[in-house]
Amino acid sequence: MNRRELLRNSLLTFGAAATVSVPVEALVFASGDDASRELARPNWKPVFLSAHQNETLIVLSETIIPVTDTPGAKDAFVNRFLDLVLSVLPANTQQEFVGSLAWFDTGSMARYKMAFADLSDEERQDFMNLVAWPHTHIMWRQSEAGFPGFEHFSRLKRWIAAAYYSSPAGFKEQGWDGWPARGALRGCDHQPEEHQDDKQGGKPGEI
Amino acid sequence: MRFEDDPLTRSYDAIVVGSGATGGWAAKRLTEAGLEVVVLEAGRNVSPKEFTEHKPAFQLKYRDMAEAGDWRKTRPIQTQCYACTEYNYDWFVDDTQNPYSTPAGKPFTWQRLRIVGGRTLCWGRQSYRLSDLDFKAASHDGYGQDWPISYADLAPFYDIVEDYVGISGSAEGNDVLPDGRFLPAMKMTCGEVHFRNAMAKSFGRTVTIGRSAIITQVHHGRAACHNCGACERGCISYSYFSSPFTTLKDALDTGKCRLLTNSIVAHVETDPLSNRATGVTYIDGNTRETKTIRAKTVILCAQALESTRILLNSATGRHKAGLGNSSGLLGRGLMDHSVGSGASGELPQFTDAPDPLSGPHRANGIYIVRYRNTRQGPRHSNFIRGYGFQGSAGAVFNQEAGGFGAAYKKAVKTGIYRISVGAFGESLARNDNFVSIDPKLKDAWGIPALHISMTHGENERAMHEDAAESGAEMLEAAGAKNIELRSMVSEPGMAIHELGTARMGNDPKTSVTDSFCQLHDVNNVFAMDGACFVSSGCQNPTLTMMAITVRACDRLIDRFKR
Repeated sequence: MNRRELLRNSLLTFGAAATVSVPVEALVFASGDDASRELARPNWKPVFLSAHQNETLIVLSETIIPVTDTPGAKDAFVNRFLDLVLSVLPANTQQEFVGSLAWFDTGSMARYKMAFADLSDEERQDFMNLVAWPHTHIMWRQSEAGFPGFEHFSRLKRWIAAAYYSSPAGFKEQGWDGWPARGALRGCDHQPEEHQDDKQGGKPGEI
Repeated sequence: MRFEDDPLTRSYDAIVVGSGATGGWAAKRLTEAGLEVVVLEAGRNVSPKEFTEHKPAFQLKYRDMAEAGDWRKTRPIQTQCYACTEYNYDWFVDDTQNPYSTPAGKPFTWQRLRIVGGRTLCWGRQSYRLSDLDFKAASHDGYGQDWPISYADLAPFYDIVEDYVGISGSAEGNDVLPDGRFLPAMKMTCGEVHFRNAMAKSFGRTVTIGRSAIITQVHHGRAACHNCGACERGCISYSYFSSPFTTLKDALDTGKCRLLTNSIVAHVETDPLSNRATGVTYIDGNTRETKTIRAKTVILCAQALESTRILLNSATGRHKAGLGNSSGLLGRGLMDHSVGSGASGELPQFTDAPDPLSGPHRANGIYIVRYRNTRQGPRHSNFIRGYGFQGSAGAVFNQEAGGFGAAYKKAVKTGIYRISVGAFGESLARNDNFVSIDPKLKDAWGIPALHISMTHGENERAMHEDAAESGAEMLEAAGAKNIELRSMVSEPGMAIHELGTARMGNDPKTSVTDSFCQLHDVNNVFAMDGACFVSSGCQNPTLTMMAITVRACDRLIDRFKR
């Protein structure tokens, strides 16, 4: 269903409303206040993160979700949105977040003697390769010890991915074209023999 | 207001308390038969301007991120509901104004809306008939009581409701889940077709597309679903059933229905001499005035627990323990389907890409019909009754993909083909699961609040343990990989299918209402919602509530005609 069809169908049925008359165009493409525009303002400053934490988050988020042929986390203002959300989250959640962010500096200092945000691209890739996958550290004659990097990475990645894929850029990355979801359902149209081990395809009468 | 327009200066044929699924039907049925009806709704009116199903998440301040937003502070219970979001929280009750108590160690989550249309604004829309396996369950396994009605009694009224509401679905010929009068079914995905066929082949079990109150073709002036997929935020084309734009609108269009919003009913008024109800007393939510409105009959459609609360709060000298409580069973037998267990995995043999966000989205899933403890099958040794599964299979964007960088972005977009099923189990009617009036607690309008005491028991626990194992077994039989199962029973209330507390029956000593929802003790008061359920079955109950309401209303109309 395209925009014109969506509007036409809505007009056809709008008479069914029991209550208030509303312009149909406003209903179909209701936008209201667009909070994401607030994040793009030029004089933006963090309200929760320190300048250093903000910079670390920008670098980390862009490393996890970089610019490719589509925008990356920095252009999607992932840091700005997370700063806003963090400002209203419970204290323990805030502490977990900044604790994990601080770990990236701790780990980076231990290996490269500099903060995470200051690493070269090559060093950062090496460091991320170390933390981005679950593994354990086993030293000769020592008991097995869990490596905390993956836990910190995973926690921050969840927040970063959630922020990116709910941003305008992230929406577009997932096939949002500026209009509401629409169209005919794409169900199974295969013939029976096209499904391995299946004896029948869709049922007659399904739409 | 002119004197003759003042609803308080006249008497109606019927007061309907509540404007949701059953209140809308009662108002429609009675007014179309020529009766004069006033509908009292505790909440405000709703406007399509509030619908946000097409609003992208990034336009919200906090994008509905967990725990963010001051509005959550007033809705700590309501936010346990998947449908209560930053988009629509204002439709849900303010928990600080609508308290209830629970015993220590027995939490109950009561998720509800106070607005015209009630929960039909954001209900799950799954619509299934009960069968005689449910209505006569006690005869089958010896537990509890049979309903005073059979499937044959209710079938014509299921027909009426389905014909009007519009239920898309597929006939399966399985007696456990009787077929209805369906609009064309929504399509299954390839993975679901594969799963359906595998279940039939491996276990002889029925998997069908969800039977949903979402119309798939033009139906009574409403347009077919436009597949945006976010029904709980409203629908500009009214394609899912919601009472303000269907039943209630029809009632108002007759010119015989008066809708009073922000009218919070406190109790039913009765005349001690005639032992009949004379009306209800309510609080005007705007002015806080106490008002009384009169009618020949009072029909409670306020939602199971609210209707019973009104009856309990209507105690008089003659009805000391609450109106309709001579059996001592008013408030007893609280049920809510048990949920929490299931299984999930991947179907790697399917490699479809996820549907784009601007593509169509099906607000529906698949349904696995109950197969435990049926009449044809063996009896399970650990539990009675049974469960059905709701689930889905399809490609989704995979934010949980491993790694980082460009490869991670690509993996998210490539997606993953997931399958999951979650069980809805029967909740046994037990008299030790109950609601009563908390003598120390009142709501923001000074109306005594409920004390809710409910636990799921050993039967539900054993049932869900089996459901988890069985779910995983079915996924494995379909070739799923990376299967995870979860075996748990969630906090009561999580199914949002509160049932019972004013059960129907033929014997006034063992039931609260007769089979037409009329109180045994007061013959012009009715409880036409989930309160009258005798047992819960495992099917989503709203369709049955509506059919029971139509049946009860038709009998009431006959009485008025005589």
